[in-house]
Amino acid sequence: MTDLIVIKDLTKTFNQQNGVRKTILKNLSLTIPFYENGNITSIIAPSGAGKSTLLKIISGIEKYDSGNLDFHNSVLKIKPFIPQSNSILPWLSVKENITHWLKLKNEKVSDDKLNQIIGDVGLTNYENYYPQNINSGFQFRIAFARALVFTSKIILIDSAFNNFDLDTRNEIYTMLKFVVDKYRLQIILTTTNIMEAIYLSGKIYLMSKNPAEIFFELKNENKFNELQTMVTSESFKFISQQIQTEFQTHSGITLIHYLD
Amino acid sequence: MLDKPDKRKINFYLIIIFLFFWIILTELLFNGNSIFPSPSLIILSLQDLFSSYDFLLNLISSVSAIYISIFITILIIKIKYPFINNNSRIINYLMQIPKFFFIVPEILIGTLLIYWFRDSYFIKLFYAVFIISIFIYQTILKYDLSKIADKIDAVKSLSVTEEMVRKKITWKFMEPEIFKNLIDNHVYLWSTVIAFEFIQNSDGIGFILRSSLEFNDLAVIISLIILIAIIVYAAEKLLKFINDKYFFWN
Repeated sequence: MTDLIVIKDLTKTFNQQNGVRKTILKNLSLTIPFYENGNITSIIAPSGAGKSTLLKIISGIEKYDSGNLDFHNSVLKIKPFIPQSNSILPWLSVKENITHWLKLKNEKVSDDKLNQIIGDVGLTNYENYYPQNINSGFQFRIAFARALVFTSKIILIDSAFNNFDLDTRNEIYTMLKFVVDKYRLQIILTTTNIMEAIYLSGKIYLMSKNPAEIFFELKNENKFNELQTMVTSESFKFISQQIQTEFQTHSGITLIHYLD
Repeated sequence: MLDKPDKRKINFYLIIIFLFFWIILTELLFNGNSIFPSPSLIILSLQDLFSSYDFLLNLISSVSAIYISIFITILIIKIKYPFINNNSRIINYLMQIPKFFFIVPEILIGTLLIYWFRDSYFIKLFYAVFIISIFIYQTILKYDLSKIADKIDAVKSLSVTEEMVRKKITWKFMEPEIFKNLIDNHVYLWSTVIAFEFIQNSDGIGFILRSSLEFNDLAVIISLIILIAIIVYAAEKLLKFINDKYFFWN
């Protein structure tokens, strides 16, 4: 298959506490292309639309009721998922957090490769720290490094930057762009943040809520090197406006492109 | 609000005042009363406690029953927990059984065990294991798994097995809560084991208590209370130290 993921007619329902089944995803179809040199694909959707559920299904954590999922030949069984909240273990040091699960599966990563990954995600000199002694940006870096050691070509990030301040977000964006280029990674990022999606992604999908469906996609060929210059650029304003208009027309909602 | 040093000072003065009145009232004014023995009598009774009541051996019997059973119970549940499949209907039914014991005072079950097995030390150990299992089971039932759902999802995406997730994440997160619950119920555990020994009338601190009651030995009862209070206090400090050292992230 030439595309990264092809999803056809995906349906997912949940049992609610009152016993009534709720449909989260109904006949959702989505095709994400494979980029030889790596890419970040964003799915923008309002809160509660089913972004996390979609990523969990892609990752293999959640089962789905009906539909079809196909992956590019290069995609391994392991598709690391980085959730919205901190996902690292507080009793392990930074280095142990990164290698722990690999060791438990009796797999090894060479010291050189490990040090390279630690360096690439910006954790050098923090290897022996414990998570409670470092900030949330670093905690994301650990989760990302943990995903990288599994040599999976695809990493799924679920609105993970929502609680970061602008400086931390900026640092993480820079790190992500660098790592995606270097390792030719395919990242699927769900977000509610238009600015984030435009800054990071080559491809953007818009997803509605109730029912969750992909109603618009756009290719973003602009390469922005700095967040501050991007937000004042005409191309950003244009894409941002386009996304806002599409959401307004399709779902009647206004998304905010956070800059705080 | 008083700060810690002030509270300590007040506690210290209260103890001094208590000791002062105790000495004045029991040594000088009401010497030989049958309500509260004098300090000198209690000091003398300590000797009795060790020689006539075999305090050390009985203490070992109680202490070992309490702390060995804590160790055994945690170990058994730790080994078994990863393999308990929540999705299994049979396991779910079996897991409901201990809930019955939430509403039955444990000592009644203890009395039944004593009736069946009489003097056995191992039945005391079993009884303590049973009580600790209920504490741990309550903690596991109350634990809010949604707090760690994201961590579990992240690890599951790395193709880690369900058993491994339960062993390496769920259990690890529950462990400090279980230990904290044990510390909170530490005095209760002592009380219930002493009550068991009291009924069993074979060995342990409860046995000394029963014997001293039969001999109307008030001084021994008071000195026993003081000694046990010191031991329980020290053990609790030790448990808290272990808690801080091994569950430092909590």
